[in-house]
Amino acid sequence: MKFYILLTGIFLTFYSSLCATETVKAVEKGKTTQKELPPIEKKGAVTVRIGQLRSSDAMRSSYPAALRSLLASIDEETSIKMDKDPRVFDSFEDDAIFECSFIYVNYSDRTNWEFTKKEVKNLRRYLENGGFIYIDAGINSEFLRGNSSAGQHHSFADWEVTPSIAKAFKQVFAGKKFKALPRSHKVYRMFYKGLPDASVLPDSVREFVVNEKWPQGTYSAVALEVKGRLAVMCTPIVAMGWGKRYDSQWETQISFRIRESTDGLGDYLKNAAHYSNYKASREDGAKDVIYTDSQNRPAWVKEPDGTWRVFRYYSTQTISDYAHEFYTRLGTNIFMYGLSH
Amino acid sequence: MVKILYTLMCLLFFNGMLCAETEEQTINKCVRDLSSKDVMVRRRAVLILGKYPQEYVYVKMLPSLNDPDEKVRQSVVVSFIENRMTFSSAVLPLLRRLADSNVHTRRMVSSALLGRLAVYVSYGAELNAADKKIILKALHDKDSSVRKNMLNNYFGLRRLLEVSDFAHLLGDDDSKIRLLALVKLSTQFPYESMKPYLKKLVKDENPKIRLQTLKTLGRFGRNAMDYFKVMADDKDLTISSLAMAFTRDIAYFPRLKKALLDEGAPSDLIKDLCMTLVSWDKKTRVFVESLLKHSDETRRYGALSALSRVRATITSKTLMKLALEDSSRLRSLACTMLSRGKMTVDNVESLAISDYSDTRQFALVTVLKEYKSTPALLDALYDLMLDEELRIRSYALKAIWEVKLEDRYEIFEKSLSDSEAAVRNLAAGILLNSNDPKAQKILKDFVKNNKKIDIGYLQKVNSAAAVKKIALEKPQGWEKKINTVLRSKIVEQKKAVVDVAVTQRDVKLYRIIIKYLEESSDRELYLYFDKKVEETQ
Repeated sequence: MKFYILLTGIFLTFYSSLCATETVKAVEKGKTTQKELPPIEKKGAVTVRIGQLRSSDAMRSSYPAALRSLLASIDEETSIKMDKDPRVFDSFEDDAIFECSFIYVNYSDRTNWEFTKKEVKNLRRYLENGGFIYIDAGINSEFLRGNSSAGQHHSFADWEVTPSIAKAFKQVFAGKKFKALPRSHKVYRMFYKGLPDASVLPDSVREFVVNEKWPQGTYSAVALEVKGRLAVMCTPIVAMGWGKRYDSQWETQISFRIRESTDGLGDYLKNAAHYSNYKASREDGAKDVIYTDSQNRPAWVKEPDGTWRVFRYYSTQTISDYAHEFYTRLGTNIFMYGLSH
Repeated sequence: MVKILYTLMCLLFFNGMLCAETEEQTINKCVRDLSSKDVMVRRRAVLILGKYPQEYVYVKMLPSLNDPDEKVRQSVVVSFIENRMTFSSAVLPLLRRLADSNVHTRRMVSSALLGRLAVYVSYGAELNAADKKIILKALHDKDSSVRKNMLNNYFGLRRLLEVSDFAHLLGDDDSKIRLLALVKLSTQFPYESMKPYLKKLVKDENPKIRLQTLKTLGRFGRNAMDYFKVMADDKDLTISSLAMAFTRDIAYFPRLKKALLDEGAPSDLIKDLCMTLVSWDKKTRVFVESLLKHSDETRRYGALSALSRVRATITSKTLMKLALEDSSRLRSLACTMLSRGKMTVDNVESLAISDYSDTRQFALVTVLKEYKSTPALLDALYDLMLDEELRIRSYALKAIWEVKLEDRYEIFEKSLSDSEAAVRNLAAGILLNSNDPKAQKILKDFVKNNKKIDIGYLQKVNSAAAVKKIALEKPQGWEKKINTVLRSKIVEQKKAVVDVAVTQRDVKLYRIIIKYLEESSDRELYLYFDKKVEETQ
């Protein structure tokens, strides 16, 4: 009963945040720009405290500053009074999980994904009664699975849950399977809609990001439904884009690999010297032919429709900041969805 | 014959199609295109040349950094960035792009190249007045990203510029830059030079900046006491509380106490204040101790962490209560603190039947650590060997054998018929590997009285015994059988062959094993063989 009351409280808080969040725009020299406003001063007790499954030694966890930074951002950007200090559990055995309606887990923070009997019992009770679990890096493309840290640095788009998670949740709900989330799902528009302002990006990067990398601010995800409600959600790593240092700078540097073209590129590239080539599958099953340079990095590609494009590696602060902003907005949307559903 | 020739021709043809040019040809063609009048041809040329990351190619691209087309200039910069290419003749042409009309190019140079370029310049390259002016101008760039990038490169640039050249950034319009400037520059400025900026910063509208200013002031200690007193009245609870804590003035204790009990106090503040108050004086420490009974987990944990850090004495009754809490971090810390002292039998037994497996595991570790001095602790093993977690049951069973508990034979006899296969296997393995005749008898009786043995470990051992027999007696067709065994996946049987070969010094078996190891990549067997041979020598 307490649990339902807590959920209702969170739901109401969330909707008040939607109404209260203030966006002020000022027109300067004919250009619309975001005006800097001081954050909302919040008084009274914290309203939401989420749970986190990880070792009690924060230094042994992946991206130790990430979750706190995201929670701080949610606290700053919405009117929810969010506790930046998550309740930490070593396992789902802790009955304290019932005090948190949202639990965050980074897949690599748990080495053994076989649930104990008590965990199975607790998880079933937790998820059937409205709890939400988000497993970050719970999607690891096949080529990333051999190395546990690889999935922490590559957010390769894929729509299949990591087999050990699928197996673990079979212990909890024998007949249920993780299913791919469509890009049209509400979770991607829960608080922030679309991408952050992409005008900060160079033209070629902007085009690729907006149209191909993260269309409308979406991402690859799978989910498990319990009683007709999305209860467990997995994505490729998102936390790499959340963490901030003590000086408010982002903790990690994120680069983009994008595809760029120009007139007559194919005429040259089809005969150009290269080191090797291989085929790679797309979402729709069609094949790209990738050509590599002397360092065996993808240099250019012949796409299924015959277009030739060059791979370019952009690693600048502005691009990294943009990626962080996107990941933080995506994280906020996932948390908002989990807390209100 | 015709077919082979046809295939070869096809292969040559397709190979030619895939790679019709040599690298030199492709590069020369594109270098020629760099001076084309057609802008699209020039763009294509730099895009392709960037994929051949060799210095001589990049040298040819340097003039294009001054191309009239901004996309060509930007593309050259991107190539330098993606291949981390920097060489002395490229330093100044790239550095001058800090004044490019295209903001993206300026951002790229200031972010990804400036650090490396600055190192080159500081160690020898000439920097004339005009180039220095370009760098100084970039510190005042109208784009805030460029200014921020310049500040991020402060440590690289400080050999070229004065710290005062950066000072204006402490009052930048962008709050992120003000904050970064505080972090980067505060250690470089003496207190007196910081003073004019601090006056404004302590009243900054952004609480993050006020907090960072307070932390900066903290470095100046008593010199900054006036500021601490001003900030003690800050409207932000965290800032005012930390400012009060910095004064170390006991007169602020009632206000700090109130702040710590404020229901809106953030967790970080709670932890920081507990850490501060625990070492102020006796009165403040008593207050921190009282928080161990607070209804909020964050306050209980904050207090326990602070008390643990100063190695305060806490009663075992309080610690036991905390060790049985539903918060794992509290349990873990309480157990650590309990382990620093002597644990009573009653306490260990209570922990051994806790609801939480981490606490039960702690109880097991404590038994094994302390049973020699307190044999009564061994009683807890009876609860632990029946634990619902297989992991704990297995550890407990092992422990029972190792500490030679009196009724261990009876326990192990029963464990051979346990409902869990893993426990049955473990018990059989321990009995089999012990030299204790009583243990061997239990096992023999068990095998004799059970026609159908469902213990995997014993089945494997039986099959290994059969292989040993073949290797020793060498019946007709034994070589074929041994070869089949070595190429199978049953490790125990393969090891049995090695055991016989080594103990009997059987040359025929040695040859078969070595031939197999040469042909296969069976590293596990190789290591086992190596170990066994070494042992006999």
